[in-house]
Amino acid sequence: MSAIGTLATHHVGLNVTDLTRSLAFYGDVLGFEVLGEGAEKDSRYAFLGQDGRLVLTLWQQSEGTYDSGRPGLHHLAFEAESIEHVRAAEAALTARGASFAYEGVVAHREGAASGGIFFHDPDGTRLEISVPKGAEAAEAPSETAPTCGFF
Amino acid sequence: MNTAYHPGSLAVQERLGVQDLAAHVGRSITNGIRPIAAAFLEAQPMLMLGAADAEGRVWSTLLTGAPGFVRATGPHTVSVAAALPEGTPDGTPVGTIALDPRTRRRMRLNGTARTSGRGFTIEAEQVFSNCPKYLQKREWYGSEPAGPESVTARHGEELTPDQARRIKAADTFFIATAAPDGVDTSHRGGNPGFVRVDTPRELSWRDYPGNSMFLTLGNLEEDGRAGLLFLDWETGLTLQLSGRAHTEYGPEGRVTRFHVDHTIETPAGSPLRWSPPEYSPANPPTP
Repeated sequence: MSAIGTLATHHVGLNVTDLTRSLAFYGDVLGFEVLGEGAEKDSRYAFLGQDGRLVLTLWQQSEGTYDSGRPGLHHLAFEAESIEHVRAAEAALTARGASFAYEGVVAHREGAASGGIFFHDPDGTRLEISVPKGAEAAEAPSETAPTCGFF
Repeated sequence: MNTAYHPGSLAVQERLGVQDLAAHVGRSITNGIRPIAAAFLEAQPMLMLGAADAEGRVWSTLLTGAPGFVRATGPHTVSVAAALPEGTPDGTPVGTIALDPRTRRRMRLNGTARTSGRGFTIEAEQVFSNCPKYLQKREWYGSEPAGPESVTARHGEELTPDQARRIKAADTFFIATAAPDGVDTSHRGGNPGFVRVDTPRELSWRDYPGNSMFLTLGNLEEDGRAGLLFLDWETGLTLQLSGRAHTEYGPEGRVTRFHVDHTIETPAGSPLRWSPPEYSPANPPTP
């Protein structure tokens, strides 16, 4: 163990293009509560969490759409309490017309117990909601990557 | 506007309300052969090729060779060490699918085929991969090169009882379809019985949910010519059917009906020997 000790992921900050639209997505659809909002010069931001615990900060200070080919965030994964909760999220996202990277719940690997849903926020940022077990019956989209094809 | 799709595919996507999903997956279609795709192609002992012959009939043909017989030779070019199927014009549009039963991976590469010193090349226009849905897993036991006398092909215009029995027992086939400016070869899989033989000249199958691209159904919408390929994975017999197909969109789902015009059965069509299948968990039960 280094002198720095154990580091845990605390909260994740995402750039968004339209804070109002993103708040509706993360708040109304995924159920995060707004812990705080603010503005600086020409950017707005919001702090989101659950049970008062900060999980996500959104910053309206970008343009365009998410680009998987640029350095930075590859995807943001949330762990759900059970596969039923994952399916509830899937239903809420489907009702809102969110874009999914793969149809329905998929296993992380062929035969793996872990798995979930892979989808995009309004800016195209890649998101995952998964469980460590309960996805045994789901098929794997590929053996190496949670996308439909293998490239 | 996504230009990956022909009007026929766009019409099917619209009818089924999946334009957004299709546009999303359509972004995975490019004309570039990435390193991961090049490595995959080089490991394959087989390639399924769809093309129209000089008479305009569409066929799906199995090409085989030692791994490496299909090789990317540039960012948009593939070289195949095999002859183009007999009757295939030079410079013709082709649709290919490389499918690996060992890993349940598949990729498709569509473009223009030209004869070359090694066999032929394909200038790629569309390169993409699909998910493992409905792919049966098989181990590769190796190859048994056939003697020249056993590759004699038997031509017909309707299915023999033996051919009908094979089709009813099949868990996999390939379907080539033509579009105004290209050809596509796709995979269909399911538990045995997923293909029905309604008469010696009529086959039908339920269209299972897939990637929402609807390249095959779109081509059928616009053109209708199709070529089917069935393999006996354990003996190497190949059965090729050429004809026309259309899809019926009913409340119970989609059914594609294929009318047989010509058949070619080749007892030693493939030297490859594969294990019995491990069925895909995605296969719906069959009656």
